[in-house]
Amino acid sequence: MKLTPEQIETIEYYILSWDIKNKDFYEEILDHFISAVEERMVKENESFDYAFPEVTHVFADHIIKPAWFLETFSGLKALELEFQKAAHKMAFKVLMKDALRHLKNGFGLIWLLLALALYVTFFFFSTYVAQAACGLINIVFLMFSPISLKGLKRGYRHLRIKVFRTEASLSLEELKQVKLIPTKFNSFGHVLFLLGFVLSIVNFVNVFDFEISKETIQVGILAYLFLIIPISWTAYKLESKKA
Amino acid sequence: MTQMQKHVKGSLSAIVLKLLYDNGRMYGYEITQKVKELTKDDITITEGALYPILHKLEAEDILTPETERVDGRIRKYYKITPKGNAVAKDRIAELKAFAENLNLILNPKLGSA
Repeated sequence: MKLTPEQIETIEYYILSWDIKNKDFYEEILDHFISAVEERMVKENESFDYAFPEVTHVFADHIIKPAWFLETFSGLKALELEFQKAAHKMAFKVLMKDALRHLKNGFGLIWLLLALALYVTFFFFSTYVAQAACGLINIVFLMFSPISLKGLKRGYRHLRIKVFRTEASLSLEELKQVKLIPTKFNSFGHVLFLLGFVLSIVNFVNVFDFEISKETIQVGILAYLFLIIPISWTAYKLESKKA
Repeated sequence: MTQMQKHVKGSLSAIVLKLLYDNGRMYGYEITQKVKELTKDDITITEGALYPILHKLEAEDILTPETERVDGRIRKYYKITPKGNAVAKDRIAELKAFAENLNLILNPKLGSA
C-alpha cells in the first residue's frame, strides 16, 4: 500500500523535528520509514495512525554520548551523529586521494608553477605585485567558488528566516531547504573558506603596510598557495560531481 | 536489548556482509527484513545497530552506495566493493568457524563422533 503525500509529509515533519541536518542521512531514513510503514500497513493490516508511531519506536532506544563533555543524544539525532562521523572520515579520505590525483595531472603542474612563480616574486622581486596577485586570486576564489556561493546563499536564507519568519511558519519544502545540508564535503569547504578569508585579510592588511612579520606572511602564503587552494578546488570539483 | 540481540551484536558486520555477498545489493530496511525472514523472526537487527555498521563499512571502503529513485524518493543501496570482497570472505569464514566452534561446545558429542 503506497502512502499518500500527506502521510509522507507527516513522516518528513517527524524526522525534521529531530533536528536532522544531513541530507543524505535524512533521505536514507525517510526511505526506511516509508518502507517500514507501508509494509506494516499491508502485512499487519494496520492503519497509518497505528503503524507510523510503531515504526518510530524502533529508533527511539538508540543513545550515544559523543564525548564526556557533551550531552547525551538519543533516537534519530544519535544515529545522525554516528552517520556524520563516518561520512566525514570518508569524505576526508576521498578528498585527499582526489587532491593527490589532481596534483599529478596537468592542472596540478600549472598550479604548482604559478604558485612557485608567485612565491619567488614575493620574496625576491616585488612584494606588492605578489601580494596583489595573491589578493586577486583570493577574491576570485572566494567570490566565484561554488562552495562559498552555496554558503552565502544558505546564510542569506537563514538570515531571511531568522529576521522575518519563524520555523513554524515555513512550508515543508522551505524547512528542508533551510535545515538540510546536501553535501559531504561542505564541512571542509567551510573550514578552507574561513582559512582563505583570514589569509586574504592578512594579505590586504600587509598591502597597506601594517606591521606583520615576514615569517607570518611566508607561512600564510605557503599554506595558501600549496595547500588550501588545491584542496579547496578538489572539494569544489567533488561537490559539482555529486550535484 | 534482548539476549539474542546481545549475541548478534558482535557478529553484525559479518552478517551484513554475508547478506550482501549473497544478494548483490540491498538497502537498510531490506537487510532488517531479510534477517527476520531467514531466522523466522528469531533474530531482529535493530535500526540503531544496523545503520552505524553500514556507514562504518562504507567509510572503510568495504561497501559502496548506489542511489536510485523509487516512488519519487531516494533509495540508498549498499554493495560490496572489489576491495571489500576479500574482507567479506574473511569475515564470513570467521563467523562460520565461530558458529561451528559454538556448536561443538553446545553439542560435545558432535566433536567426538
